[in-house]
Amino acid sequence: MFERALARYRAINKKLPAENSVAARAAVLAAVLTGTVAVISQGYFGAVTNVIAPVGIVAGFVLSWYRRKSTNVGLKIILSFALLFVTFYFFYVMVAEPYDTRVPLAELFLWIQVLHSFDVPARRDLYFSLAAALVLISMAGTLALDVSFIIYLALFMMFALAALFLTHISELGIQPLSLRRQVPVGRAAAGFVVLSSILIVLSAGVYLVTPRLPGMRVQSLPFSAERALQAAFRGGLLSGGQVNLNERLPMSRATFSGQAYPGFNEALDLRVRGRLSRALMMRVKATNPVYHRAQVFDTYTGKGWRQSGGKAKKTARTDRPPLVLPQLDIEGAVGARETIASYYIVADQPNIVFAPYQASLLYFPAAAVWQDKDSALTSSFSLDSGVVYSTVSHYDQPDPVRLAKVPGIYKNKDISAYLKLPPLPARDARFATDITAGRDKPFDKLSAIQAALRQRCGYSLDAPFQREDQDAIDFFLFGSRRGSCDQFASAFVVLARLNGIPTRLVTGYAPGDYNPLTGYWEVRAEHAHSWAEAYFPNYGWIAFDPTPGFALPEPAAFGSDSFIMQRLSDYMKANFGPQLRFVRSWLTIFRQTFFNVYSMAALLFLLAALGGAVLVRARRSARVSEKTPTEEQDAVAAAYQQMLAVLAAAGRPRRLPETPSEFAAAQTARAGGPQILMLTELFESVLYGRRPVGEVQAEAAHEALTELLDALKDRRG
Amino acid sequence: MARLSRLINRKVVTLLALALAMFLIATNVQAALLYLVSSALLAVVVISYAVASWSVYGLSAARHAPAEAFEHVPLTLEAVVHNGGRWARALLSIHDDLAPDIEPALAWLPGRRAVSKRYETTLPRGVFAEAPLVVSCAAPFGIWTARRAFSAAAGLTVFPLFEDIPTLPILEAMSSPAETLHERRGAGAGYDYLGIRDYRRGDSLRVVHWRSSARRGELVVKEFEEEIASPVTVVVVGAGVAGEPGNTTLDAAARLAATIANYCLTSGHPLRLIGWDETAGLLSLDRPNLAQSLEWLAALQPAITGTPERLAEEAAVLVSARSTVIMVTADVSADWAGVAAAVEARRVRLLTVLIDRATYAGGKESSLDKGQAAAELAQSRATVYVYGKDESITACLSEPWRVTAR
Repeated sequence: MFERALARYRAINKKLPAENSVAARAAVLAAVLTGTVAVISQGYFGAVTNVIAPVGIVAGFVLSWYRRKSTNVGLKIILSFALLFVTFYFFYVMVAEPYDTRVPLAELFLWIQVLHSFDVPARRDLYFSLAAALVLISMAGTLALDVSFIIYLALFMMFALAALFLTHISELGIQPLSLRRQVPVGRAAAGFVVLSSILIVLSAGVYLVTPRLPGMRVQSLPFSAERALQAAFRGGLLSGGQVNLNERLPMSRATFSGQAYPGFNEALDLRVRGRLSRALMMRVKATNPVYHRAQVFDTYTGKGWRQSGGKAKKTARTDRPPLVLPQLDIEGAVGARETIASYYIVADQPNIVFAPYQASLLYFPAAAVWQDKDSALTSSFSLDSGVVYSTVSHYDQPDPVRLAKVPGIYKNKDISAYLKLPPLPARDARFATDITAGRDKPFDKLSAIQAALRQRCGYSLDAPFQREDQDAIDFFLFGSRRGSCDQFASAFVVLARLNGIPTRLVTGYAPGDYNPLTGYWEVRAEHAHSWAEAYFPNYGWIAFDPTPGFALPEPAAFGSDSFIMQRLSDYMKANFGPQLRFVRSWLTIFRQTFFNVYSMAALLFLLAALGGAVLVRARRSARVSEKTPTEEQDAVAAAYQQMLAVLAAAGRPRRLPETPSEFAAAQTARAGGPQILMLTELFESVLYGRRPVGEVQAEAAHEALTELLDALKDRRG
Repeated sequence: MARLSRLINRKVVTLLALALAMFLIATNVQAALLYLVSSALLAVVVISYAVASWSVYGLSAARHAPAEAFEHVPLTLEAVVHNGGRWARALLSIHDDLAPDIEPALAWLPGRRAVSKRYETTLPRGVFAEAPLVVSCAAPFGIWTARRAFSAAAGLTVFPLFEDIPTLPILEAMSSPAETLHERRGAGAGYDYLGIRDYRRGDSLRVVHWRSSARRGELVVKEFEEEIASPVTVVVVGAGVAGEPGNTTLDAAARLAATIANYCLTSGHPLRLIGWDETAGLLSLDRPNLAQSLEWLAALQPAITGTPERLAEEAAVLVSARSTVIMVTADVSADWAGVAAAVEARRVRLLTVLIDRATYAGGKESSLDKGQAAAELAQSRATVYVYGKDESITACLSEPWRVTAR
């Protein structure tokens, strides 16, 4: 056993012949350098690594070329020690900062690649280098925030495939120069173009149908370098700007900035109008599409919203990240779907910590954050471009069927702040009661309000300006009847309060645009949004989004679909609308049944089995066709058949269970016995292929048959 | 399983594993860009299968080989690959069962054309009626290899490589006029002079007809009415074979037998070759010429049941009295006393050329000195010659083996 293992070990580690193809080595080096630059360009490493790694790799490859025929024992020992060192360094970093393993892991792989470059004498070593370069490319892929990675990937594939091609022709013993002489340039170019096109089309095809599984959790949540807390900070916004809801606003859009949503302030002025730009604010990598909560407003003033105040509570971590956030708004049992979201801030943001509702863990580059009574989070510093943090939440919107059963009895909670309203025109109250007439449960009332708002008012970012003395909601409901999410959500909250249901206004960002290439949600300024939350006893605060065209994100919409299925689903939603809900529901059922990962696996298995069966069948057919009898074999078989026919006519038929040999043995003593034996032997040669059958045998068969016929004639005579 | 292993190799498995790893990483850390890497790897595997399979489709191959060759002497083979398809094929390699150690490559094979490739190889003794020719292709990346086998007739007989020895002391050691194993001219009753003939190697100088030789410018000898031949029977034992394929004790036996046969034929000894075949039984070839002898020896196969005792019995029936039987064997487990008795009963002299199995079975030194067989051989009064692996046949046959067994 031990000897066998030892022999195996020796076989694996035996000195392989050196790879002498300079072209192949150059292609591998180019692929490795591409992987290295791809990782370095993500900007996570220091200048020393950025310079030494590529230079070291080139130096290593050059040295390796010159020493490819040597045993390099000393070099291997040095490399082993260096490898141990970088491994220890990796563990040291991991112990010090165990939260985002990707960067130290990428650095480890980078240094392994550098060290390995010094010892690549054989072809197998070059393959290892290519595999290691692929790992680097994949590390770059996990770190990359935008699609520029695709350029590196394309370059890497080009070099790696060239390296595979060149090592293959080296393996065949063909010199690249001799290949160039033999192969017409036009043909080679055409072949290259065709092959590249097929590769691109196939890759795209596989990419489009690859199922996107819901993310499995890996505890490597990124956050940027820790910053010091500002000692004077006590919660609230640092640079949100003071909004005076009592001042007279000029009836123009000049006050509206396309880059900054007015809802990320201490107050929200509903008189402000305008369009937000498409400027990228942040990228979010999230396991589910979520609304990114920012501010919560509880006080309606008639012109807008403000926060009733109250001291924000500081939540500090005791030791290492994450920060454990208290769950202020959850009561009783709610779903526990885990949502992990990592935020990469692109454009400067206020000191609001955007997070999914009910974030319970926060990996943040500070030792503390502040949480107000409505679970809005703020930091002691502004979230400038480059800040990275992650959140984990365990929350699922409760089932509407359950919520519909909750009575509107609020005994144990002080909800007065969420029911307060300023004096409103009487028609608002009448409208509120009219649309909920006949409904007594809060959920039914809220559903009715939402439906009524969507029916009565239209979505517009260019709604007319109200008069100074008009109430913002009254103007929206009975004047303009047009408005943005701010108007819809505000009207929803006001109408709910008029029905005695505690509600509040929430601002934040919608999930954004999902970039299927990078896997990031790209959140732009125009994705700033507002929605409402209503209080349900035993459940807590439940989100509602009354704005037409918006809906609370459903996890099912971001399930195991492939890229193509996601696009198909989006297209169906956009083009067919509610009229084709029936078709959509069937499509959903079909999709869930046939396009989940298990069905895809089963389908692939079936296709593979089918393909295998076809292949086996084809091979068998090919074999059969290869074994097509020769002319001589046909002649022998025909003679044998003729013999059987003659013997049968002579009253000596061959019985079915008899083999040719048995039949021949039985006839030996009778007339024509030797000829029968001869013919049988020849026939068996044809049948079982034991001996080659040629012209001589065919002639012998013919003669034997003639003699047999003569013998039978003599016997009769 | 074999079919599966043809479809999947280490490189394919590695690429699929990497693709799966990329997929899992992409899923785990929501790095959608890695789906692209995973897809590209799968596409490379698919292309490798498709291009390689297509490349060997529509090809045919044939081999040109000489009809005869000697073992371990380089010979040139030529494989001709024809592309029946319209499009050119690239990066093909040829695997010939007759030359398993080399795989000549065809860089480019234009459409509807044939390209030939010559290569040198050495072959072991044997008759190669048919040997498959496999054309394979791993284009473009060397990841998966598609193979297509063609049954190519070889019709090649590889003869044992014999040594052309000027003299054979086995036969000449006893060349006193009365007992010589050589043809005895003038012995016995028939002394009548018949005429002259060409000199043959081994003829005594006493029978040279000098006057005729001087007239013709080459040696001629006197021929008498009664020429008493001393036939030689070479028995090749196929039992107890050891050694690596291509260089077994049977191959050595065939070489020794060929060398002796060559000597006998050039020196005028009537020759008979005896061997054993598992299915056909006794193989006997009487009075062959050299080409027939070599062909017969080339086809000789190991035969477990063809023991020295059995062959000695069979040979004793076939051979004439006062002839010589030279038994070439690696099987020392025989009852040598019985063998000698069976042969001597016919007044036939037995010489044994013993191939030292130990040297073929991996041992460095002969094991004969210590064995029971050696003692038995010593008692049997047989003259024994011992041949070890890679030794000179001439040297082996120059001096009998002295038994040193205690």
